[in-house]
Parts: sequence; structure tokens; C-alpha cells
Amino acid sequence: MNIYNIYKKSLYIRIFEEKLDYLFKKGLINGTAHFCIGQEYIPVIVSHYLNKNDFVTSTHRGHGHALAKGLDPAKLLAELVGKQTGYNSGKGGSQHIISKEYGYFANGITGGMIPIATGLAFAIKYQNKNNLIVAYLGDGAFNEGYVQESLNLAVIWQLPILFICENNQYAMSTPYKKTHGADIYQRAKSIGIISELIRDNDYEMFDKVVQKYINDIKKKSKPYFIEIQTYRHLGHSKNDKNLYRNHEEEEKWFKTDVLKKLEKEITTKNQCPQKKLNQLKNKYETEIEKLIKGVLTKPVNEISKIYNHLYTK
Amino acid sequence: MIKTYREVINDTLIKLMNNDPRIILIGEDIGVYGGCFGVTKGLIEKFGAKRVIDSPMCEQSLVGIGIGAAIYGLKPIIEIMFMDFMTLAYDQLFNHASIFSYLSNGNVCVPLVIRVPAGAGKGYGATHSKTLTASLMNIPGIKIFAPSNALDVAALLEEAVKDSNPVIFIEHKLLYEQRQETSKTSANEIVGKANIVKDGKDIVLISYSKTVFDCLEAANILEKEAISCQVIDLRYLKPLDIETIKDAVDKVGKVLIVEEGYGMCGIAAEIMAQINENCFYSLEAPPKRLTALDLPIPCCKEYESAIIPSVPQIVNTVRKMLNE
Repeated sequence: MNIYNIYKKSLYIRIFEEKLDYLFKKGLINGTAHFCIGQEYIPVIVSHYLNKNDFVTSTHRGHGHALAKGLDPAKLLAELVGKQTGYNSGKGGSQHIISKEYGYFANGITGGMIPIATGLAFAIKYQNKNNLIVAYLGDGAFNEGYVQESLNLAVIWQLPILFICENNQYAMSTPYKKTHGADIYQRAKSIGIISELIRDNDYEMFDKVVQKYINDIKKKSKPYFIEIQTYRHLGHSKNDKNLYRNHEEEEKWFKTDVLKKLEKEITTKNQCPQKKLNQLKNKYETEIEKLIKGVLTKPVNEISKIYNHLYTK
Repeated sequence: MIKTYREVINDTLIKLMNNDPRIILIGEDIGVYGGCFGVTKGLIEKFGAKRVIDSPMCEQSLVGIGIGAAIYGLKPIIEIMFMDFMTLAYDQLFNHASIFSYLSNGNVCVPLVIRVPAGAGKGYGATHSKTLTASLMNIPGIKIFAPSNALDVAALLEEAVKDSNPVIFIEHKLLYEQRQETSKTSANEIVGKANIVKDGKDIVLISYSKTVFDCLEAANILEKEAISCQVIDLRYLKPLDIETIKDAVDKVGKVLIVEEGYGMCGIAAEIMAQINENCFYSLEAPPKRLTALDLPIPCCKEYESAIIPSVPQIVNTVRKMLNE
């Protein structure tokens, strides 16, 4: 994927999430949110190789996955601030975004969507459809029992699914090294799934492997697994004070932040002058601020409709 | 034609699968083995391993697979071997299957059926005998059907498969061998309604699944003592048909609820609460309940049968209630 495009789309996600901070401070978002700042490039690259009818299942840390898949930022914002115009008219909130149109399903149970993703892959294969599914999970989720079960099912039934484990080093506050007896990709491999480890936010390698695996799945229905070592620059959720990480480590990852790297590449290797990138940033900031203003005037739900759609008729 | 409860489920699955290629069966040992209780016998020969899928042992993922497949065009029927094993899948029911329709405003539905045998009486012990229906009733967005007889089981299974929502379909191990004339019944007559299986004027016995027969047996014994019992088979636990219950209480005034599940926060407790809310002043006596004792279910016969409500217990309780 062209690095300027990776940059642009990742930048949009970053600014989108940074702007959410304003909504929280103003008390306009009810509940919590988990930011993906530092990890934005992952879904940007993945979605580059997906079609609209390909499925994505996501996690509690899903804003980036959703935006990259093409979901409308205005409707996503509306969902976060609990408006009727949101994807799930505000009933889902940050962690439970569902869009049938974009084949996008997120849920707040760590690893909980993995069996369902596997079921979607099952239905794709069973009905000889030509789409595929990408299922995101984190290093924490990998330790959930049904993640292991689902990987096994994907292998024995040879399902068209790409699992992407964003290993951001911490399951909430608990470090990766304390919770995994062996590397995640090795554990996946031992179940029988073709599995690759991408180290230290290596976006170029990630891009290559994602492209290859998605092409392979399209040719022949089969599951693949990627573990990408990454880092979230912010805490687990908005209330996290990051007491469990040391400053040195945070600095190390911040220095190698992919957006920074890309920006440097783009400006030094001719593609675009810094001035133009600054203009782009300003443009996105203005755009998103405008979206926020627009969303705040949207109607909220009527209490009389609270029971609607509990069941589908 | 006289058929067993098991045969009727088997026949119904064949009929449904013949009519709808989207229906698939997934479960542990449901293929050549025919399912732990023989319910799916012969189906793999008829429909092939593509539609009758022997799965690994992983209940929680199986329910997840069912949800995913149901979202994308299939109509999966998952068999969970024992109701005790359902606990492994509670996350997928509580946090996933049940929330899609509501959160997506009906855009994403989950037409999933989970068949599961419940109940004690076979000496299988603490992990293969429980009736956990009440805990499942705590899930908004799920439906629960529990046919008590061969006549209802076909209609309710057809209805469950046609439903666009997740349905937990409760069978009872001791019902599989039950034989019944099955020639006529229509789903339209019973959709969503509890069944008054016997009319009576002195007391209402409310129950579901296998204990309906215990209530009927008790009612027959009491009939000889000139005690007239009405017996209600709930059939649907969620949504619960409170109207039929209310009408019966209004008419008869005394209620005994009998279930094989635990008493604590159980179905009987819920029905009593709803009776209090809806028709308290029709009551002529405090409602009573017979439930499983609040204990793990032991293997040995003496204890197992003491834990589950029995016909003599029902008879004695009714006598007491009418003499008070």
C-alpha cells in the first residue's frame, strides 16, 4: 500500500480519537472508550485489501477498525455520544458497533467475537461466497479459551479467515510476558494455523504479509494468523493512569511511532512537503470538529421506544 | 400414528431440512453416533456430513459458530449434549446472541436454535442432570421453548426454526421415550400460548416439560378424592404467557407451581412475583412451589429422586393447601 495513503488514513483516525478527548472532558460521551493511538496503521493497511462485502469483527478498541473499514465518521461519532443517528442509535456505544452494510461487528467481550467471526467464515465457505473475514483480537484475548477453540475450528474446517492479533504488550495493565507461556504466533502455529510474527510496528512487513495472506485466502479457503507487535500510546481506557508502564518504554515506542516514521519518510523522500502535511492535519481537525458540532445537535432516543427490536419479527 | 418424542424430533428435523437448505446441524457426536440420546440418528446418512456436522468438544465456540452462521444466511441448529454443558456457552448467549437484534435496531438477526436435553432421573449425577432454564430466562433477547410432549414438539421445533431470534429448545431426557398419537396438531393454534392440559376448579398446577406429566398423574390421584386440579403446561418460558396464568388464577384462586429447576430465583419464583403483580386479589391462598432442592444432583437413586419434585409430593402439597 502506498505510504502516503497509510499516513493519511492513520492520521484521520488519530485526530478523530484525539478529538474524542474533548467530548469526554465536556462529559458528552456516556461511558468509556479505548483508544488505538499508535496502532492506527494496522486496520488501515488491512482494509486496503478488503472489499465492502468482506467482514470485519472487532474488539473494545475498535474505532480505528471501524473507520478503516469505511464506516461513516459522523454516524460513528453519533453512536459514541448516544444519538439516534448513530450506527446503533446510541445503544451500542464505543464498544458495540454493528454495521450490517459494512459487515462490521464489534463487541466488548475480549475474544468474544472470535467464535462468531469463525461462524461467519463458516457461512461464507458453506454458501460458496467469495468474500472473507478479518477478525481482530488483542494479546489479552488470545488467552481466552474460545479463541483457541475457534482457531482449531478454522483449521479443521479450513475457513476463509485472517486472524490479526494486535499485541500491544498489555492486557489492560498486565504485561504480555506475565500472561503468555509462549509467543502468541507460536501458540497459534501449534494449533495448525499458518502464522507469522511481525515485530515492532514493522508496517512494511505487515503490509506484505497481509496482502499475501488475503490473496491466498481468496485463492483457497484457509485460515491465517498474524501477530503484530505494537503499542498503544495512551492507557487501556480513558481512566487509565498508566501506572504499570515505565516512561522509558513509552518513550521508546513513541519515538518509533508509525505515523511519525511515515511523516518523515513522506517529507524526506519527496512525496510531499511538510507544509502540505500540516495543511492536511488542519483540514482533518476542522472536518472532525465540524462533525462533532453537527452530531451534538442530533436527536436522542425516545424512552417510549426502549423495547424496540429486542426481538426481530 | 403413535411415535416417541425422540422420533418426532427426528422426523421434524428431516422435514425441515428437506424444505430449507439453509438448515444445518452442528453438535458433538450427532453424526454416525446419532447424538448422545439418538435424536439425530440417520440424518448424516440422509443429508451428508456437510449439513450434519460432528464438531469438536467446544460448546462456547459452537454457539458462537451458530451465531456467525445465522447472521450470514444459514439456519443452524446446535445440539448441546446436556443442559449442564450450556454453562460453557453462557457468554455467547448473554453477551452476543441476545444483543444483535436490539443494538442493530433489527438489522442483524440471529435465527439460531439450540437444542438441549435437561433434567434428572437417569442417575447421571451432578454435571449431567441439571435444569438451568431459569438462568437462561435472565437473558433479554432470547426465546425459550420447552415442549412437554410428542404432539407439541414438532410444532414448537418448526416454530423455533422459523423464528428470526435465538431460541433455546429444551427437551427432557425422560421424555424421549414417551409415546403419543401424533397425527394432528398445528403450530398456529399454539404459538406463544401455554396449554391448559387439564381443566379443574380447585387448584391450578403450573409446570413445564416432564413435570407436566407428574402434575397430571397427581391430578388423577386427587380426582379420586374429589379434588379437581387444573394443569397448565407453560410450553414457552420466554416470552412467558402470563395471560393464561392470570386467567387461571382469576378463575381458580389457588396455585401450585412445579418445576425441576432450582427454587432460588427460579421459574416458580418469577411466576409467583408476576401473580402478585397481576392478580394478587384473586388468590384464595398463598401460592406454593415445588422445585429441585438447592443441592448438586447426586447419582444415587434415593438422593436423586428426593431432590426432584415427585408425584407423591405434589399430591401431598395439594391436599395440604386445600385443607388449610
